[in-house]
Amino acid sequence: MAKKLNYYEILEVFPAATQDEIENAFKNMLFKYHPDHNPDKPDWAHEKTAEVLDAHKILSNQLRRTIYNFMIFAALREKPAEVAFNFFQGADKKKYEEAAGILQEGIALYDSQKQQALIKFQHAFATYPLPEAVYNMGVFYTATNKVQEAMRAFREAVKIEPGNQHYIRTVDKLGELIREIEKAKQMAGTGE
Amino acid sequence: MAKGSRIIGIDLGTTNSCVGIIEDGRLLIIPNDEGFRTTPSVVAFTKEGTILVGNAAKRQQIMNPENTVFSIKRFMGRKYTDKVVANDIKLIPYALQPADNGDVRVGVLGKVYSPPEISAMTLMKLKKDAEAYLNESIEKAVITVPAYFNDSQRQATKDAGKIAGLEVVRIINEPTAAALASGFDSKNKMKVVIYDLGGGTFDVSILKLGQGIFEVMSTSGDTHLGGDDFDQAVIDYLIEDFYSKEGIDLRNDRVALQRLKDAAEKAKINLSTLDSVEISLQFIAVSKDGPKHLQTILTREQLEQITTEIAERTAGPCEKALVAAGLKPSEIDEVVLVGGQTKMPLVRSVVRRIFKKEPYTGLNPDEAVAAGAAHQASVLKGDIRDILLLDVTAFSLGLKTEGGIFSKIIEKNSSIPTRKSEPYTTTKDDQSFTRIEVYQGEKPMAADNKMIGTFDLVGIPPAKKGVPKIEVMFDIDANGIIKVSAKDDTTGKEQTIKITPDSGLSGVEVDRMKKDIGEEFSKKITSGSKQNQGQQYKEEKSKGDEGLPAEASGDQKKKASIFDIFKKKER
Ligand SMILES: Nc1ncnc2c1ncn2[C@@H]1O[C@H](COP(=O)(O)OP(=O)(O)OP(=O)(O)O)[C@@H](O)[C@H]1O
Ligand SMILES: [Mg+2]
Repeated sequence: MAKKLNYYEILEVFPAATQDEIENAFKNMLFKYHPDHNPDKPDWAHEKTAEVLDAHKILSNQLRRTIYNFMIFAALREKPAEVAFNFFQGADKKKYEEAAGILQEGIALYDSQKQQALIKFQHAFATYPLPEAVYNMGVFYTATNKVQEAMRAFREAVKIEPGNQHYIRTVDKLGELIREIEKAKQMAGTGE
Repeated sequence: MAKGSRIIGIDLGTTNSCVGIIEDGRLLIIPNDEGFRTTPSVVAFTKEGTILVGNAAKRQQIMNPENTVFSIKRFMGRKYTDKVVANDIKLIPYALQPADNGDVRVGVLGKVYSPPEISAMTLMKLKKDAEAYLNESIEKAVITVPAYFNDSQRQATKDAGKIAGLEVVRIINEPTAAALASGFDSKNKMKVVIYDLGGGTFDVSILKLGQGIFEVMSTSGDTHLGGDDFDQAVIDYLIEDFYSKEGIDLRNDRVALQRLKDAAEKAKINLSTLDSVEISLQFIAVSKDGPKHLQTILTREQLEQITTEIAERTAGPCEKALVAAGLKPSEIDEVVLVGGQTKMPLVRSVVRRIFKKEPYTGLNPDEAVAAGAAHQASVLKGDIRDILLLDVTAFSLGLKTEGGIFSKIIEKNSSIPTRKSEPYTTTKDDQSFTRIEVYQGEKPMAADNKMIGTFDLVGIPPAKKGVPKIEVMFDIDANGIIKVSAKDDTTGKEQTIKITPDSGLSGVEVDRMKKDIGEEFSKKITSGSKQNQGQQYKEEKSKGDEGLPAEASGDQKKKASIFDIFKKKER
């Protein structure tokens, strides 16, 4: 299967594009792909237009776009190359390998059965405190809209591997996102 | 006749239909063979075996109520057991019955027709008249439907087209079509409400116009709310009034009901411009003491009193549409009125109240939808390149999950075309089949929504549970029609699906009907062309007279067939 394009790639804009640039790209893509303008290839047109509409729905709204950006940034993590951990000995090493195996199973399940994948990540983490396992739990919680749970998981990852710059930035970015969501909620609440 | 490549736009209305086309960049509303710009969506079967469509059918309606089918659109894609159908059965003079799959069928003169077949007869008449006018055969059409039509109703409309020998190149929503025809310069950004109250359906859509794109933001409505309901309120009032004066219940007399319907609609229409009208139905009933006449005066005030509740029913959908679009009335630039029933002053004042704005009445409410369909036809033909319609689906699409719960996959008011895919796997070892039940609606329990069909993924290769990866795609195309397909994610191959639609006609049935109706129609349709139209009319009149109650005297017969049933009151 061809790798799915991300929304910026679909609209052929840079991730730093302004909202105006996104709108213009959207209009151009619509005229290019819409079934009304491609009566001779309806299936292709349908698929392309559906993609463009999905991308526009997310990127046209500032908050949705920020959330989407975060989700691209906080993608699933695989376990690091084993060489980095070859100082492990005996029982620890076995546990670690077992956990890594379960983590892989979870990653494989993630696209089709998210809930099952979460159970695997939890199981892996209980077997050996892999930062990747708890980080992936955070990814799951983000995707399922439980931002507070996600924050807890990402913080745990930082605690276990304090030197990992990616984890630290994930926590920062999620913090910003939570503040933006709160702000949007307040605005909606006051009827503005 | 030359074989043509033109695409016509058809507004297939509950009460009236209209055909348009863009010729050399200009809109042309195609008149029917009697020269009228709209054609009644009425199909009549005479005892002599002729089929009448349009004005000819409408003219003989009073005399032949059981075999004159009108407002068939109300039954398109519906089940016989639908609440709304059960309600209508009592009100219409022709017979309805259930099909094997529970869909509505019409029974006339010992024959059974599906609603798409009846609609097809109207379409064939429109097609024929357009062909005669353009002197070229017509094979393709854009047909409009209420935005609030679900998948089954859209499918039924498409089938009607096929039966009539038309390739339906696109189904578009009526309010969206009206917006296309509005002539509002789409280079300027604006937000427009289309309020479309026709004979049988109410639709409201909110659109954002700009740079050639007509983007629907939200839509709502009621497929069973329209002018017919206003008429019914007047009929009920007249029946009550007559009962209290004469002690006779007219409800069981089909001929009387048809005359009442006719008089009620005329009175309603005239009260849009007059303050009061006289309704006079001579010899409407016979009692022991002799013939009885219905004679009464209806004022606009009275009409408004008895129909306010109906007009107010349009408010709910308008508010829903505003909320879904995230707009306040003050953010709307224009409220456009479409549909014959919006000519009623009461309806206009309801609109004014809801949107706090004077409605825009610059569109011809009878032709705007057909004009929009014609524009869309021109876009599809490639003649207009700078316009694009982006509509939404009026209903959420979802699946029945454990415990009968409805799980949404596509939210209502999502732009179409759209595709959502869901991963599927097995829950048992070597499971070869899994069932998906698809519904449309907003209720939390699947069974309370409209079932679309059952989709069985069959022939899944044997494997341990959870191993097969099947991607199921749920599509709503630009016509608003649902398609479900699946592919095996590991092999990339198409996964076989056994589709069992909950309603509608099969492809085989459609083909058979196309053949049957095509033959029947070409043999039995009587031309309503100008030369012999008068002749036909006379024939029908005398035929219909035989349908009057046996007690009627010759004098009565004459009166009953005179069309001055209602007169404007001298003031
Ligand atoms: N002047 C008028 N005042 C009030 N009502 C009117 C007037 N003229 C027509 N109508 C009503 O408008 C209705 C028909 O409207 P229209 O032709 O727009 O409906 P349609 O397109 O056939 O139906 P739909 O759009 O619901 O499928 C009828 O109920 C008719 O009585
Ligand atoms: Mg209409």
